[in-house]
Amino acid sequence: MLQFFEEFKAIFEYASGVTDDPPPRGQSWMRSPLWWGIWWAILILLIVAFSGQSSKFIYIDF
Amino acid sequence: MKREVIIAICCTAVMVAAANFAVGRAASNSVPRQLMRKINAAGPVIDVLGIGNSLMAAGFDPTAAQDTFQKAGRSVIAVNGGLGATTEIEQLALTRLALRQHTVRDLVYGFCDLQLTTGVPLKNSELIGNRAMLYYLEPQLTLRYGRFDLLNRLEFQTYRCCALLRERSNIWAKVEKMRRAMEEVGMPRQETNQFGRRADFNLLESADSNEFARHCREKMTSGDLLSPVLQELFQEAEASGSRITVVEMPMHPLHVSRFYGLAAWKEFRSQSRLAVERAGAVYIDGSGWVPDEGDFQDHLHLARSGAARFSRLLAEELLRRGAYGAPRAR
Repeated sequence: MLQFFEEFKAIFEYASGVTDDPPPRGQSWMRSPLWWGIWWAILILLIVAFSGQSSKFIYIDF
Repeated sequence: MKREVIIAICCTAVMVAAANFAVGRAASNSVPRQLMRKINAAGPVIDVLGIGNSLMAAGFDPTAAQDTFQKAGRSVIAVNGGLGATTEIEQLALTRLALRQHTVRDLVYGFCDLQLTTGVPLKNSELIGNRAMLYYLEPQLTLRYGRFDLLNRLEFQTYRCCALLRERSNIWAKVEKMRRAMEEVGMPRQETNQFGRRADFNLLESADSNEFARHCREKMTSGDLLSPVLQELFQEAEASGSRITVVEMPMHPLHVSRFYGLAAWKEFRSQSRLAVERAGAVYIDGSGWVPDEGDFQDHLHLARSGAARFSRLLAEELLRRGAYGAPRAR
């Protein structure tokens, strides 16, 4: 269980730029440029979904 | 390394393009598009077309209006072209859509308070929800009447080309609904209606009667009684041979007692009536037609029962004006 959390933490630290060192083992896919492309797209879409609302929603019938 | 970055950027671009396509597809059934399809699908003649914002969308019951005409021996087609959370620019675009493809005999424009006057200049960031239709239905009207500054004009043109930006509020609405659901966990459920949370619509009323009276006086002083957009709407309808009726929509009894007894409002209303009549339209004060609180779903919008009542009275008024044959005694 502890190992799982350590790997989980390592993956997120690498993905979020806390460290430049990739996770020690088993996550070689994270070094692939395809993974980085997908990850950046996910971040862009999350930004579109969760930020930028400039006014309070009153009407929500759409 | 450089090659890997290019591959990653290409992969991102493909995914964002796919998301753009998906959002565009998902928005194909948005409320404004449904309304546009409804207007397009009406027969070649629309006898009564209701145009306005949510007050008209909630308040006009075409079936009740048609039934009233039917009882008077007149078979008519009534269409509710009201759309929630819109201003006169969207309403002009919808009117033009109807006039392009149909003969509209009676155009009924519903409003409340100071909505016939010119609003504040638009910002691109405000074009969310149903207002996003300005990106795709006659965008030149928005550029003409929106009074955008240069930055907002550029943003508008950019957003028009990209579904992810144009329809961003479809995603935001889902997030907002999720937020509201999470807010209610362990809390009493908030009352909602067809447009949103019931209590939120109190925010759209003036804070107090002094502020409302001040707005009335300001508009009278500036002479801004009928916005240029509505003037064009009425001109185009008149040029197409439509009769135009401008109707003060029924308001909640509390709203009527709080604001419509003010001297400033009475003076403003009489000046508005003159401006409307000068524009070739008929002005009807229907604000007190539905005096029962139970006929409202919130402080602004009629419930189904109120909409049926208002629509029957409106149809009788149109019949009384003799628009559909011999005038009928009331």
